[in-house]
Amino acid sequence: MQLLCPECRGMLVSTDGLSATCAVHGGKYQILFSRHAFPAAATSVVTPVPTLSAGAVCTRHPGVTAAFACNICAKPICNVCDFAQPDGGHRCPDCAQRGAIAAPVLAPPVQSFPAGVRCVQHVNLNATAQCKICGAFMCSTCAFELPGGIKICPSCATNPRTAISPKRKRMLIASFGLAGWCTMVLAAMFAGVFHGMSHSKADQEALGYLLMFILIVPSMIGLAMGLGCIDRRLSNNMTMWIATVWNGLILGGFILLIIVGLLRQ
Amino acid sequence: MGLKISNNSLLSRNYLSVDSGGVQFYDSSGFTISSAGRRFPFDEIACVLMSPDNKLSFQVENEVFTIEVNPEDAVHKTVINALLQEIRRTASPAAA
Repeated sequence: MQLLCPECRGMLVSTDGLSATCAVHGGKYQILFSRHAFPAAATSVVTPVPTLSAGAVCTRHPGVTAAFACNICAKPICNVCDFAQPDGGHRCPDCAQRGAIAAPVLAPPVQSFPAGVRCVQHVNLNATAQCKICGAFMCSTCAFELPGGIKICPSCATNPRTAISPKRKRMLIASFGLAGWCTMVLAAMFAGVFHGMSHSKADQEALGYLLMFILIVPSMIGLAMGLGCIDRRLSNNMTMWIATVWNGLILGGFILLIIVGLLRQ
Repeated sequence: MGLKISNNSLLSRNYLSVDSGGVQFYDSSGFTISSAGRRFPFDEIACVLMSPDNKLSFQVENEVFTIEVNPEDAVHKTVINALLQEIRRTASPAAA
């Protein structure tokens, strides 16, 4: 199978099996894994040294006569733009940057613990890892290693926590509280509690502002809190969705009423 | 357990998810969906490359999929290590 360049879909070649070079544009890539052998690079992955035409000027400095032509892209370059290569070749700044050393191999961080930290299960053994979920220190026997170097303790591995955190719980309660408040205000509005307050146009305007502050703003805050509780990476229960939808319906309903009111005027 | 690299923005959604069954790749920009929800088992991945500008690419058959990663992000590092570990396990003779 031909291995392809991610940028230009050209052919990738490799001499050492650790890095690959695109045969088309010369881009270098670090090989993290390859199931198939890469084709060996030709003696040079670039075309023979391009010649410089007479009177050619540097691509980046039009007023300066070009001294070399880039071995990769054949652009004329001056002495300032030239990146001399160990093999005597020349590269323009763009090709030199593309051929920069690849990112280092990503390795999991090495954990170190203060002296005397013991395993919570085996107090006579030093801790060698920390649970990713609950933070408990554990020895090498207790550590359950998951793909990617993630270590968790026996408690979290056998009985994963599904309860939501205190912060999310507070936000959920606040969201429900605000939804309940807005529902009461809406009920009062439909029951005509505010009817007696709007005798004049100024009163109606004031009532509008009042409703905005006691209904729209709390429902917006409640909706934001409900959405803040929901985290795709964690477990979400039905109450979070109920709080979010409840606030959303109140806000949406009131905005709809405003629109209907404006259209009827 | 699922591990995920997400590069989402207002108009695009791009993520790579690794789990015990394989790799899921999703890429949509604006109103186009180029690789929506493609799923590949580990033994179909031919190679995994990293570009100097921190773009992780993997090839399946004649298709190449790329996602930008952050080498400083612990989650991204974990996902990449998990991906390589699972692919190497399918490539070992014992798994054959």
